[in-house]
Amino acid sequence: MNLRLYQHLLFLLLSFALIQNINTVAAQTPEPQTVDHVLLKAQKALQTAASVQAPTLASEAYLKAQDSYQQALAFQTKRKAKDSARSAAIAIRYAELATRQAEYIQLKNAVEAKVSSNAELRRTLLLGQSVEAQ
Amino acid sequence: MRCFLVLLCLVFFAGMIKAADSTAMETVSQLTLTLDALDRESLPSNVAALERMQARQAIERISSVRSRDIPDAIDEATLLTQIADFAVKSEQLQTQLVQLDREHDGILVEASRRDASLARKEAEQLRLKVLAFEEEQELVQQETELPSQQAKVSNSPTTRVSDARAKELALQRLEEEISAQMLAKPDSLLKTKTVAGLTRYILSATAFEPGTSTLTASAKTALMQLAKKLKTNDKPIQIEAYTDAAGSEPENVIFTQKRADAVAAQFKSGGISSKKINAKGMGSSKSIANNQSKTGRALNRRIEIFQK
Repeated sequence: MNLRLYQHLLFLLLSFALIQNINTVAAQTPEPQTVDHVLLKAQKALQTAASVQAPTLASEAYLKAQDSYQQALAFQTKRKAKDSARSAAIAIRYAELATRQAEYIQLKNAVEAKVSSNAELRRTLLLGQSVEAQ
Repeated sequence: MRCFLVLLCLVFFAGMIKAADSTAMETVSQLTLTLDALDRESLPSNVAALERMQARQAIERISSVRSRDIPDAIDEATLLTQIADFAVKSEQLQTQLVQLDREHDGILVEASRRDASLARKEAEQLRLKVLAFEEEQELVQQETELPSQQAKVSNSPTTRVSDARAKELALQRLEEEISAQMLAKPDSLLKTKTVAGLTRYILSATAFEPGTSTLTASAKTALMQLAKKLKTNDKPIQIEAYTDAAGSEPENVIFTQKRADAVAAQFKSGGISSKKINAKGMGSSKSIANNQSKTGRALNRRIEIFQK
C-alpha cells in the first residue's frame, strides 16, 4: 500500500516538474535570431565600445566582452550554435556596459575639466585680467 | 526501502533548488533595490528610461526562467542594472556639463562686459587726451600766427601811409639826385677838405647813378686817380657814406653801406689792399647841412674818404 502511494506521489511530482519545465521553456523561447546575426551584433557592440576608448577607460568590461566574443566564435567553429549565441549575447551586454562606463568616465573628466576651467576663469576675472586667451 | 531513498533524493534536490531560488531571490531583491534607487535619482527628468526598463524586465525574467538558466538571467540583469546605473549617471553628468557650459558662457559674457567697460573708459581718456592735444596745437598755432597777424595789423592804413611817405621821400631823393647829376660839374665830383691837419676827400652823391650804389664812369676815373694817391702810404683808408634824413634810418644805413662798399671795391680795383680799407654806411648821421632844404639834403648825401 505504502509503496503504491510512493509510486503515485513520485509520478505526480515528476509530472508536475515536467509540466513546469515545459512552461518555462515556452516562456523563454528566444527571438528567432541566427547565430551569425548575434555574432555580428556582438562585433558591432565591441567596435562601438572601442570607439569610445573603452579598452582603456573600461578595460575590465571590455576584456570580458572580448573573451565572450572569442568564446562565441569558438563555439560557432565547433558548431555549437546555442552556446555561441549565448556567449555572443553576453559579449553584447559586456560591450554595452564597457561603452556606457567609458562614456561616463569621459563625461566625468569633461565635467571636472570644465569646473576647473570655470574656476580659473573666475579667478582671472577677479584679478582683473583679460580672459580672451582662455 | 528503495522508494525511501528515491524520496530522500527528491527532497535533497528540492532543497537544493529552494536554496538556489532563495539566492536568486536575494539577488533579485538587491537588483530591484538598486533599480528603485536609480528610479528615484532619475525622477525629475526621467533619464535613461529605456535602460532602466530593460534592467527591470531582466530582473523580472529571473523568476520565470528555468532553474539552470537562472545564473545567466541574474548575470544579464546585473549587467543591465549596471548599464542603467552608468546611463543615469552619464545623463546627470551631461546635464551638469550643459550647466557648466552655460556658466562658462556667463563668465565670458561678464568678462566681455568688463572689457567693454574698460575699453570705453580708455576711449574716453584718449578722447580727452586728443582734445587736450588739439587745444594745445591751437594755442601753438595762435602763437605762430600772432606775428603774421601783427604784420597784418601793421599793414593798417597808418602803416600804409608811413610806407607811402617813405616811398615818396625815396622818390624825392631820387629826383633830387637826378637833378643834381644833371647840374653837376665834373670838378665838383670829388672835393678835398682839410680838417685839423687831416685831409678828407668828399665824393658827391652825383658819383652814383641816381638812387643806386652804382658808380658813374667819371666817378670811377676819379676814384682810380685817388687810389693811386692813397696807396703811396700804408695808412688805413676809412670810407664813410652818408645820406640825407629822408626815409627810415635802417634803410638809410643799408643804402649808405652799399655805396661805401662800391667805393671800396673801386679802390681795390685801383690796387689798394682790402686790409687797408674800412667801408662803413653811416645812414643819415653827421649831417653837415639842413635836411629841410633841397641844397642841404644834396650836401648831406656824400662819401667821406680819409686816412687816419
